Amino acid sequence: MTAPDDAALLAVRARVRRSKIDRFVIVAMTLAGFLSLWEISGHLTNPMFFAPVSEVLIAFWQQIIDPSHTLLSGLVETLAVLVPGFLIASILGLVLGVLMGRSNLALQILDPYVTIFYNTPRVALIPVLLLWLGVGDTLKIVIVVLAAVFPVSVNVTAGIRDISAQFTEPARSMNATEGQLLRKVILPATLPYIMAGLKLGLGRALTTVIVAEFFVSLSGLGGILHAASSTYQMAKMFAPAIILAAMGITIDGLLTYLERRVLERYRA
Amino acid sequence: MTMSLTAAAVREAGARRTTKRRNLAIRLGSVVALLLVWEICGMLTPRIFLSPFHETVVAFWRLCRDGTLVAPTLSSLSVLFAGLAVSVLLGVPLGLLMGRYVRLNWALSPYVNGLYATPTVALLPLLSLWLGLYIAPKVAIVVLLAIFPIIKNTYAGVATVGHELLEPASSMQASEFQIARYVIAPAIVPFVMAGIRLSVGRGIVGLVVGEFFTAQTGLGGLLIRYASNFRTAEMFVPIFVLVALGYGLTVLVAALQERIAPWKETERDLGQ
Repeated sequence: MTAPDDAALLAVRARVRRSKIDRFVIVAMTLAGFLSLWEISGHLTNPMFFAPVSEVLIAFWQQIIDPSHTLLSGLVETLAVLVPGFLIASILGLVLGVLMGRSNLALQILDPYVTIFYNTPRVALIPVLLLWLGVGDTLKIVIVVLAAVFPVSVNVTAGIRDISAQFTEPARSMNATEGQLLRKVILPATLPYIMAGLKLGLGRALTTVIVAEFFVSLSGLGGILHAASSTYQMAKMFAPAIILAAMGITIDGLLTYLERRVLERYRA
Repeated sequence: MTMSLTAAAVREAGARRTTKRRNLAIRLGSVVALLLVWEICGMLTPRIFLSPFHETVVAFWRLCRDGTLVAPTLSSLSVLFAGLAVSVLLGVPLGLLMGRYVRLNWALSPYVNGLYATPTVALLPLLSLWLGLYIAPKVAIVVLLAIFPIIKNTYAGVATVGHELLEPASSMQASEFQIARYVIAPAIVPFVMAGIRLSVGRGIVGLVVGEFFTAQTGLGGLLIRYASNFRTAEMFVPIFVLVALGYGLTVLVAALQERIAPWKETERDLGQ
C-alpha cells in the first residue's frame, strides 16, 4: 500500500532535486559568463570609461580598508537620511491612509493633493526645496518623505476601502468602538496593502535619496559615486553603486519576506 | 406598490447626486484654500523664495505664448516616448520568453529582479560617460527605469496562462507561434498594459534626472535654469507640465487598457 506511494514520492523528489541542480548550474553559468564578459570588455576599452571586474573588486576592497573610511561614512550618511525619512513617511502614510480610508470628508479634502503628488516626479521638487531648505540633511529627509509617503497612503486607503463593509459590519453590530474597529479589524486586514505600499515607497525613497545626493552636496554614496565618475575613476565608481544595489535588493527582499509571512498568517 | 418603488429609487438617485455634488464642492474648496494660502504666502515672502500663485499663472500663459515652453516640452516628450517605446519593444518579448522557457527565466531573473530593486539612477554618471550628454543617455536612463515593470508584468501574465488553456491548443497541433498569437497574447495584454502604466511614472523620473545631470534640456533643464536664477514664478511652470504629463499618460494608458483588453478587469500591479 505505502510502497508504491513512497516510490512515486521519491521519483517526484528526485525530479525536484534534479531541476534544482539544473537551476543552480544555469545561474552559475550565466554569472560566470557575465563576469568574464565584464572582465574582457573592461580590458579592451579605454580605462577612462570602464574597468574590468577584477579592478573594481580590488578598488572596493581598498576603499573598505582605507583608514579614512570614506565609503563607510558615505554609507552612514546615506542611511542617516534614508532611515528617518522612510520611518516618517511610513507613519505619516499610514495615518493619512487611515484618515482618508475612514472619513469621507478627509478623502475629499486630501485626495486632490495626494493624486497630484503621487503623479509628480519627486525629483522635480528637489530644485524647489533646495531654494527653501538649503543644502542640508533637512532637504534630503523632506524629499525622501515626499517620495515615500504617497505610495503608502494610497495603498492603505485602497486597502481600507476594499475590505470595509464585509469585515466592519459584524464588528459594528457587536458595538465595537472606532478604535477597536481600527486596531482589531481594519489594520490587520489591510496589512498586505500596507506592505505593498511600503515596498513601493522604499524603491522611490532610494532613488530620490541618490538624486538628492547627486544634486545638493557631495556626501553619501551618491556623492562618492558622482565624484568618482566626474574624475574618471571608473573602478572606484562601482563600489558605491554595488552597495546601493545590495541595499535595494536586501531591503526589498526583507519586505517581500515579511509580506509573505503576513499573508501566511492571515490565510491560516 | 410599483409607484412607491420607483419613488424610492428616484429619491435614492437624488440622494446620491447630492452626495456627489457635495463631495465635489469639498474638493474644490480644498484646492481653492491651498491656492489662497499660496497666494498669501507668496505676497508675504521675498520674491526669490516664492511668488504668488497668480504670477505663476501669468508666467505659464506668457511662456506658452512666446513659445519658450514648446521646444522643451517636445524635447522631453520625444525622449520619454523613445524610452517607453524601447522598453515595450524589448521588455514584452523578454518577459514572454522568460515566461515560456524556464531555463531562460532562471538565467535572467536574478538580473531582472536585482536591477528592478536597485536604484538605477545611480548608473546615470556611467551612462553619460558612455553615451555622451544629449539624447542617448537620457533615453537609456528612461529605459533602465521603465523596462523592468514591463518585463515582470509580462512574465506574470504568461505565468497565469495555465495548462487548461495551453494543452487544448497544443493537442490540436498549434505551433509555438500560434500559441503565442492566439492563446498567450490575449491573456497577457492586461498585464502588459498594467506594466506600461507603472513604467510611465518611473520613466518620467528617469527623464527628469537625465535632464538634470546630462545636458540640461527639456522641461527638467528649464526647471533647473529658472530655479538657479530664482525665477520662482516661472519655476513652477515646467513642474506643472510634468505633473500633467504624468497624470495624463497614466489616465491614457488606463483608458487604452479598457479599450484593448476589456475582457479582464483584474490585473496585478507588481511592486513599484
